[in-house]
Amino acid sequence: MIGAVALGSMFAAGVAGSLHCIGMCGPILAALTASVDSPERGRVGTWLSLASYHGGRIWTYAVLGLLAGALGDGAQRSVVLGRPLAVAMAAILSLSGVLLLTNRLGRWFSAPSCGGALAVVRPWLRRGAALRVVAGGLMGLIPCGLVYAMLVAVAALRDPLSGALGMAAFGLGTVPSLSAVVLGGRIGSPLLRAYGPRVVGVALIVMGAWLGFRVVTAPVGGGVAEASCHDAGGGAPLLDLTADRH
Amino acid sequence: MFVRLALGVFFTLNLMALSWFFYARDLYFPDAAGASGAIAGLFSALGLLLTTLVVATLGVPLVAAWSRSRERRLDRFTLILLGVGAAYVVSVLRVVRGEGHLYFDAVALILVLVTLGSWVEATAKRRAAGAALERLSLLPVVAWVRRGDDVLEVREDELRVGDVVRVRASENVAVDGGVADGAAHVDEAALTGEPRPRAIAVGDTVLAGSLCLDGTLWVVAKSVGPARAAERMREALARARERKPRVQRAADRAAALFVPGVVVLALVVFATHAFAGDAARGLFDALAVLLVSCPCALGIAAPLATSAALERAARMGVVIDSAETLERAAAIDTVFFDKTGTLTERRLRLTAIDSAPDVPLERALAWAAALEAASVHPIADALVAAARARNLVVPKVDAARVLPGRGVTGEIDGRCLTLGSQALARERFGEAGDVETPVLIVQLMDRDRVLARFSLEERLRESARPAVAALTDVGVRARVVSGDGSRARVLDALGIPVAGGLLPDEKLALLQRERCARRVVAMVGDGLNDAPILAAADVGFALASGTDLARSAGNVRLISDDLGRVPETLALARRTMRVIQVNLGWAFGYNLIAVALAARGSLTPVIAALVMLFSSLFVLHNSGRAGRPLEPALGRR
Repeated sequence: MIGAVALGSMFAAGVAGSLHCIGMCGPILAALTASVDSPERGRVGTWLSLASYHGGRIWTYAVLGLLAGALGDGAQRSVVLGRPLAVAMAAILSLSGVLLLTNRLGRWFSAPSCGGALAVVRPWLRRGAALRVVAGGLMGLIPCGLVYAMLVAVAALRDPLSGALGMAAFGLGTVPSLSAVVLGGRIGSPLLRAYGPRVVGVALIVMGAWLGFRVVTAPVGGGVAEASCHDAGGGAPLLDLTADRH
Repeated sequence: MFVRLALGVFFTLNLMALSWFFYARDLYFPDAAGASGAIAGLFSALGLLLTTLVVATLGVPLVAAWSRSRERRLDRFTLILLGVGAAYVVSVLRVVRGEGHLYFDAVALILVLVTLGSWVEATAKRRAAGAALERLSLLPVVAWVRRGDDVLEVREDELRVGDVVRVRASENVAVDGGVADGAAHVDEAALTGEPRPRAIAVGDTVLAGSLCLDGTLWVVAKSVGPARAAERMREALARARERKPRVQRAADRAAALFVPGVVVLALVVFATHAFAGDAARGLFDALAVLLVSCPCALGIAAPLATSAALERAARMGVVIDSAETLERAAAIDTVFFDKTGTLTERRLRLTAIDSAPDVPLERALAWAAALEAASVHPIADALVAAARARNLVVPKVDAARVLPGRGVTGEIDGRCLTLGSQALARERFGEAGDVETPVLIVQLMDRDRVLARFSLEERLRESARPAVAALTDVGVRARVVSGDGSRARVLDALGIPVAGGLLPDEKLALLQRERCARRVVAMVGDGLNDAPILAAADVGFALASGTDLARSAGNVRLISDDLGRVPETLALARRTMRVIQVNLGWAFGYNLIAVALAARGSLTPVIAALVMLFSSLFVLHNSGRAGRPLEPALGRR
């Protein structure tokens, strides 16, 4: 089962990465602001409204994490798919990092799909908690390099429950800054907002490169899957996120 | 329903994502099947949780709706609930026992599809009803009323008959009434379907909901609140929707037999496989049989189409009292028209007075106006207007009495006088001739002789000729059935047979003869004397300007006096019946084929539910055709 350090790391990744979300998901945040931030609703009502939206989003991340964990587990056991999946995971990590640095993914996928989804869910944001949960859940499916990178990370945990918890921790990490923006506040210094996502991007590239290097240098045969996720020498987890799982 | 549907879809999406794992595990990781047993257990438990959420969100309301229904009879929901309930219970037992082959995804998807179908159906019905509400929204909530020297703002529900209401440009009229002062153009499109604004002035009638485009009007309220035409139209529309046409009642009876039949067939399918040792396959196929059979298409085939058509008719300014009337209108092959006030305009003009030497013209006119003072016939209007124009003093009438279809009688200065048709004069005094006069003639007589003859000229309505031509074009026979014995030249332009000088019972006899010849007859009329034949005809069209009795006797009421609405209504009715026939043909054909396929195991439950949804969507879409605007060629040229 995922440990406290790994959960903390995923939460931190959410906090740092959400600075990127603020830039990418501006229209969603604006719609959310318009729907929840009204004087009649009161402070508690506003927070509950926000919680329902974020709850739906975190729910979706958790389900995706569950699937990623199961996939990681399957990849580790599969003789056929182990190496290709490990290479794909390394490539996704690195590519996510590059796209985070250049903001390309946002322009190509996130912004258009965000606009389309928002057109559907915008009226729902005003129609009660249940529909806000659904809206949040659907917005959690919007193409996002950061989410994909995190899914690759939790896949390495090779456990669905850990994957779900890890992604939920990541989702929780994105809540403070997104909520602050919705409520009209600001989070982090301008320097952090400018360079936070870049740091995450560089970290992802390094992680992807390291995983790729491990896969390529691992002995071919029965140990492929093992090498894809574990240190070839002593069985230490490949991604440091799982450092305290044993 | 929408919130529940959205939640149900959300949970189902999650469930589908988890189901993917089972398919992927079997396809890609066969070696790891045993090792990933713990994960499979986790996913099964989560599947159970999510499916239970879907059942709670979508399934429980279906059960509640079924148990709330008065009859609790076997219907489409019974089939769905049986199928889904069986699949859910079997899957839960398998989770508990740790066995494979769960039907959670099928249960959730079927509930989503069924609820989606109901939602689409409800939305379509709401939209159909929407236009009526739209019309109501044209009725203002406040009006400006003259009170002494002031003009006060009064709430709509506080308006009274007789109030003088001010309507300025860009305001909607709040009451039905007559214009007492002012002149303006009004847009009545929402009420009558007529897109061209109408110029109105003092003496004209205006309906609540009309939009004043220019000028200022002072309207004396004749009807307020629920008595207004727009409100009555909405109520009539609501009542009409409640009554099913005969064809739908037949379809309902078929569906009532169909549902138990399907349940028995599903049991037979299950039993056959169970005895052969494959109970799981039996359950699967029985489930498909239950889900694919769709009496819903049968159930909505006619109501949706008639609802859409009634709404379209209302938009055209035609209020049809029931779906049954619409059904009868589709079969109409003969249309009787009343003449005066129907084919011709209600306003007649007095062109000549020819009196006996000892009766001054003005006295004859004053007597005639006095006899007609209480009448609402166009002849009465013309005589009273002529007397008023000459500033004549109209004497008091005692013991006034209407002679239906013949005239009026009463005592003036102790003298018994009658104003009536030529037929009446002929009957009394055996006078012949003048029957074929080109103008309308009424005669004033006492017990012994004719005292005066009044020649009245009438004008054919602008819409009369195109309406008759449109009817003839589609093979409907049109003829004039009039109480007036004069051979009005104006009718020559129509080129249709004229039966004149008929009393109300003679008109009824004529109608009966047509019926004996297996003809389906509609009557179009406006007057008091038309009421019996309007009520007796298969479909009675009452004109807007008609008397209250005529309007209550007719089962199709026109909000305007545009005769073009008659062929349009018949065209609409025929199109609606064609749509219903296609719907029912589809529903029966679909069920025969789909149930047969499911029974032989060619459909999975999810595919069956999808096919069922498709069937309902087809019927929904096709029914929409009944509500589309008519092509101009259909009703009007």
